[in-house]
Amino acid sequence: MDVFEAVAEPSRRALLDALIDGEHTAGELVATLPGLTQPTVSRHLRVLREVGLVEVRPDAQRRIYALRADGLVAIDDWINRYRRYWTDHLDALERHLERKQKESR
Amino acid sequence: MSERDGRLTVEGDRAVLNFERRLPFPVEVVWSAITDPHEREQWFGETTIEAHEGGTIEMVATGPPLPPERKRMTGRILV
Repeated sequence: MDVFEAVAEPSRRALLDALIDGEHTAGELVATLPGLTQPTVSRHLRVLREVGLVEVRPDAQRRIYALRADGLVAIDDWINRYRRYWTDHLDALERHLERKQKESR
Repeated sequence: MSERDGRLTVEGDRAVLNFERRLPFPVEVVWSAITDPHEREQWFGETTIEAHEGGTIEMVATGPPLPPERKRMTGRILV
């Protein structure tokens, strides 16, 4: 599984959202998704860890999860190509309109 | 990242990249820049557009250097 497939699942996105403000224990994360069982949430967390979106560290008997800042770079790069594409063309439209206005004067 | 670079939102199972531009030119000048094939080619490359509300847009991006079928995009005029 890659990072794109990992974030395609809504529950996994909810887990990422829950980690935006800071790290949480596995138990706290399970509590944020009341519709899901603990093993299901654990499976989602394992997927997120495997694709590098979260990292985990042990703290006594608990497991603490945190976002990995660089995990979403691949997605950001991909989206950026489309941002660039449209931004460049819309800039070109504006230049075209300015040129047209000058010519008509 | 500024508003010029598009605003990404998630609507159901799809991601939407929104671009909004205020173009300080007369409406009919902007409309013809978008709908006239020769004008549009100057800023957008090879495209076909049904120039009316609800009309469809088909375009092939001039870059990146990929086969046309990989770059074909379709759209719809909403307003």
